[in-house]
Amino acid sequence: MSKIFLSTHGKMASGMKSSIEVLLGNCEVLTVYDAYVDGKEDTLKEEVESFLAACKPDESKLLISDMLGGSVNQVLSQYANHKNVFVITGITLSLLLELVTQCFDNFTKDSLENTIINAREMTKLVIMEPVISDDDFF
Amino acid sequence: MIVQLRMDERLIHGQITTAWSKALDIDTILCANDTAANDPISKQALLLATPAGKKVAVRTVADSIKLMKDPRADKMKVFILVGNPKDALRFVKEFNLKEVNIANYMRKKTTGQVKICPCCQADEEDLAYFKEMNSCCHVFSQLLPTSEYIELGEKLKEM
Repeated sequence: MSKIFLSTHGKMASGMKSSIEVLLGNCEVLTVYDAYVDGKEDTLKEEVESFLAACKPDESKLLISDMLGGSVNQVLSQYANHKNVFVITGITLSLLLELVTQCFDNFTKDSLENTIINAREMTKLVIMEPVISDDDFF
Repeated sequence: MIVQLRMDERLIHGQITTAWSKALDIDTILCANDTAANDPISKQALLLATPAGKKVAVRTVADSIKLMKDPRADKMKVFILVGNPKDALRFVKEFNLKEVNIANYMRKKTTGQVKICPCCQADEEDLAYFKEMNSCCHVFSQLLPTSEYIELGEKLKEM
C-alpha cells in the first residue's frame, strides 16, 4: 500500500483532490494541505509529520508539491531521505490520477520515474489533425 | 464481444478514460454516435482522450453495429458508449444485450422531463425508449466503478 500527501501554494491541493474525486470517486489514500491560505498560520511541517506518523512503516509515502524550487517543495524535500518516502514536485492532474490509482501497491524509484515520464506526455500542445483511415475495421 | 454498453451524452470523458478504462477488462472503446462521427472536430477531440494501451473508435451507430458484427470483433473486449436512449435500445436489441448502464443524460431541453436517476432525465419520447429497454434487459445506473449501483428496473416499470 502507499499513501500520498499533496501540498501546494494556495488551494490547488484541495482543488486537485476535488477533481480526483469527480473522476475516481472517494479517495482515502490522498491527504491534502493548502499552504499559505488567508494568512493562516503555516503548519506544513506539522502536517507532514502527522501524515508520516499515521502511515505504516513499510508502506511507501509520496510527498508531492506544485513547483520545483517553491517553499512547499523545500519543506517536503527535507524528508526525501527518510525510509520509504519519495518526494515529487511539479504535479499535474494526470500524474496525480496515475499515482492515486497505483496506491494499492508500494512504489519504487523506477516505477515512479516511469509514471512521471508517461504523465509528462499528457502535457502537450493540442493540435487537431484530420483523422484519415482507410481501414474498414477498428 | 461487448463488455459494457453505457449511455452517456458526454461519450468519452475523464471518468471513462481514468476510472472505467481501468476497472473494466477492455481493450477498445467504441463511441457509437452519429453526431460525433460526422463532425471532424468532435471526433478528433474524442480521440484525444484515448487512454494508453487502448483503441478508441468514433463511428456512426450503423457503422458501429457493422463493426461489432465483424467476426474479428469477437476477440476484442469492447466498451460501447452511446449518447442517447434511442441508440442504446438499438444496441440492446441488435446484440441481445443483458444489461445497460445509464449514465449522464441531462442536456436535452424539451418539456415534460422526468427524473430517472440523479444524472438522467427523460421526456415522453425518451421514456418510451427506456421502458422498452427495461422490457428486454437489465437497466441500471453507475457513474463511476466506485459509486452507488442504482437498479432502475422497478422504477421504470412504475413510470
